[in-house]
Amino acid sequence: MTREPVDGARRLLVWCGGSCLLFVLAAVVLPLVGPTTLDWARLWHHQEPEWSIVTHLRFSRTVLGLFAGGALALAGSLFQSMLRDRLATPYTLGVSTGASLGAVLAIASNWSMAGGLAGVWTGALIGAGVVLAIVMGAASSDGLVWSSSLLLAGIAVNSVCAALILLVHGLSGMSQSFAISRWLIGGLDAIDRTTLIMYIVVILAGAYAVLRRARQWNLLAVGEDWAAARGVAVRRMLVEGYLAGSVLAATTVALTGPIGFVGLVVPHLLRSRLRGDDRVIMPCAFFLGGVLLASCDVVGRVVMAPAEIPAGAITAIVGGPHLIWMIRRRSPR
Amino acid sequence: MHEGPGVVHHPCVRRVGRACCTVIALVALVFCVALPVGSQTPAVAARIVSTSPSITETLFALGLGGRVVGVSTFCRFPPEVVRLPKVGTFLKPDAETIASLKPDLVFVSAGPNAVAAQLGVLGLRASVVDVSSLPTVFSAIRRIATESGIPRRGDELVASIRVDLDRIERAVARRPPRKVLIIVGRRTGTLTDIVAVGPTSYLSDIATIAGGTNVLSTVAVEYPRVSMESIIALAPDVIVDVGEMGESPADSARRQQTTERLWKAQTLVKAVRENAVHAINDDAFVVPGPRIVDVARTMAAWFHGVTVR
Repeated sequence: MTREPVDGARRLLVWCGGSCLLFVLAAVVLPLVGPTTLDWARLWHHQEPEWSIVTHLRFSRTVLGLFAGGALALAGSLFQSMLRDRLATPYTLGVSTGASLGAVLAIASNWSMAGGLAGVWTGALIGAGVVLAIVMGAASSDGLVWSSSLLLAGIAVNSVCAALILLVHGLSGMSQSFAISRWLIGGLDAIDRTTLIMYIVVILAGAYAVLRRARQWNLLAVGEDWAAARGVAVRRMLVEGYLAGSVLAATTVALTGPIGFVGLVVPHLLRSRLRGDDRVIMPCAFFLGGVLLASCDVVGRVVMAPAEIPAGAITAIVGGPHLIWMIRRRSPR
Repeated sequence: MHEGPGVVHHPCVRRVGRACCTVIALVALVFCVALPVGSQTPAVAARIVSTSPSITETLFALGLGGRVVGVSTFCRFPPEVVRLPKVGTFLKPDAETIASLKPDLVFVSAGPNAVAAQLGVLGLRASVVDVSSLPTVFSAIRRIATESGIPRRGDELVASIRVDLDRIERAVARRPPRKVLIIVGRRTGTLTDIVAVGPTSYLSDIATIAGGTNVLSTVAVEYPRVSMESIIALAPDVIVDVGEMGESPADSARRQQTTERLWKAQTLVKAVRENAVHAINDDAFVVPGPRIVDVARTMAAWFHGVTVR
């Protein structure tokens, strides 16, 4: 009788511990790989430029990739459980597209810097905040929020924001148009330490808010009535989940631009292994999503060095065929 | 009565005469039809529409500015084009707006759009112009001149540009080439997501003429994305940054200050340490047209301190 909980705890330990270890290992190893050949003796003696290349440029980029991939994969798995939609991604509920619209408006209106932060980052955060308020307002009735109305409002706002991006892009000048096109491709790059630390704090707070409710997401994934019957405050959970997932996705999009696929493919690959237990899937999605994005970024930096391929393109090229292979393996013959 | 030699009345002779005339007419007709189209010089176009800044600048340099009735949204040089009707961007020109201007010749920039075909359906003459490397800048000038009915002026303009470029090349020929990185795009307000000029771009050719060597000359991409790490490793002597251009002089000046401040923090980059980063807001640097001579002169001054008139 006690075997199942023991197995569950062991699985949680093995999977979460293993993926956490991979996450830490990636943070240590990936900065040692890059487009330029390093003189290890100079690096060991903290000599420039090797020391700064590894500790400043590569490390900040790797950490950004780890946390960005983690945030997107966690937001993806959260929205999939919350909306009971296996095709949900961090971009489904419109906040990420709102962030993109904010960034595009910042570029089009020549907003270079704002409060010490790059204008695109500030613009993206403002855009995400505005869309968050609009979707929440549209989806709530008498102070209550339903997942179906959240999904519909999110999709509607998503479409409007996407249309406005096209409009702003069409009306902007030549250099702005080029900058917008590049931003919409998305990708990782080294950022300054202060911004990186602020970003990590926000992502850890968002991840904590999601992971501490993993049991409730499990119940909600079965059905709202079913979860409510087991003591879950469904309406409050939906609001909390939407806010936390939006914070994860929007802050990431603000720094990296829209990077697709991580938020869809990582939760799916884990679900095929872990049978829908969000207590294991969500932390593993965070760690492995980060490892996937940071590793793909390294591949993108090295393959055509010194030219780079955007990390999002590599994740899609690597993850897509793997997902198809998994689906084919699971489908009945 | 004796009949003169010029008066022939015999029916047989008349038939032979008619047959000869018919044969001559047929030969003339066949000759006209079979004449190669390329050998005909098109009539001088009276109403011309341009869909890209490089085409517009070429038309004005050819002396056809007075015939231009529509330009792209991005066209800003020469200043008089600002007042002309806009027909969309070079990526997406609007066939309906172009047709409403009743042009007899439309120059379309090569790219993924169907506007040339759409204009053909509307019965308008469209010519597709492709500009990427320096040789294509010259072939584009010749094509624009020929299609506009003034082929000789095209040859003259190309010859004049070549002479100027040769003069610049000779002025820097004895100096060791400087390693150059030309940045054409990056994320606004940051030094991230940097896009630079690869070896096949016309800007790379111009930099070579001005006594430089593109540090990305081995990359098989026209406009590669590069990281700060790669820039440190490539160690360019000079960086030309046109990644953040403004839409007005005031905006350009503000952006230039931001760009300079951003680069100053990158002390591991050789060009920064040697104070050789040039943040530029002149759109001549991104328009592959007749102003490439000005670009080459500016680059020669930056690379080697040489002033060429």
